[in-house]
Amino acid sequence: MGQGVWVYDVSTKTNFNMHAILMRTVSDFPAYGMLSGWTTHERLLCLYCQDNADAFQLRYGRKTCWFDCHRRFLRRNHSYRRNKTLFRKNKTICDPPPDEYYGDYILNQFCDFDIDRTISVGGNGHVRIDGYGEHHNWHKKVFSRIYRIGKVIYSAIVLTLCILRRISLTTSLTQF
Amino acid sequence: MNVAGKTKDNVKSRMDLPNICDREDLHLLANGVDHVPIWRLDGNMKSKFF
Repeated sequence: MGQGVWVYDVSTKTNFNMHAILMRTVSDFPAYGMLSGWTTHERLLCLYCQDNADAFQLRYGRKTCWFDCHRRFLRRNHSYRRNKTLFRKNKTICDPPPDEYYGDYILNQFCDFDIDRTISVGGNGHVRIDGYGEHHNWHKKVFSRIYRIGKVIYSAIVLTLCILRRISLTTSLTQF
Repeated sequence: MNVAGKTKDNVKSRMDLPNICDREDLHLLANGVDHVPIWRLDGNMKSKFF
């Protein structure tokens, strides 16, 4: 991937061009928020659903509730989708699952702002980007250079690229 | 366990239930009294548990 980095191999005493790719990361939800640049709090906490989240506010408890947000991931003719008693009262689900967002789509979301460090937004989005909390939960840009991402690569993998950029600063990623 | 101040099964959460949940045995009664839910341990069961 990309041009790689010219490095030295002690065992053979030669130089070679090293390519690296970060396949995936495992982190808890708060760390996921820090790495991805998408705040994992409040109504839009899910990066996969983005602004399609079905969260609602409890009238008396006054908390945000994500109860019954996941029936739409069931197959279209699943009996649970039509069940009005086991989940939310009198509610059937016809919606398909939210779209999977591709790299180009994510990049388009970043066209309006250019903040790629948490410290520039006063730490986790204290200086808010337009539409924060309403249409999106981005508090920073996850990578500052334009990468061309194939259509088959999902946003989750795109997001891991930002971490790669931070680890190997000299690596220049250009094209898949 | 029904520890006062710790349990989330409080009056406000019960007030939310009629809007979202079909389990009428958990809803508050008209006089504001709640049923004892089946999962709540009484004193005897608690001491057995510990």
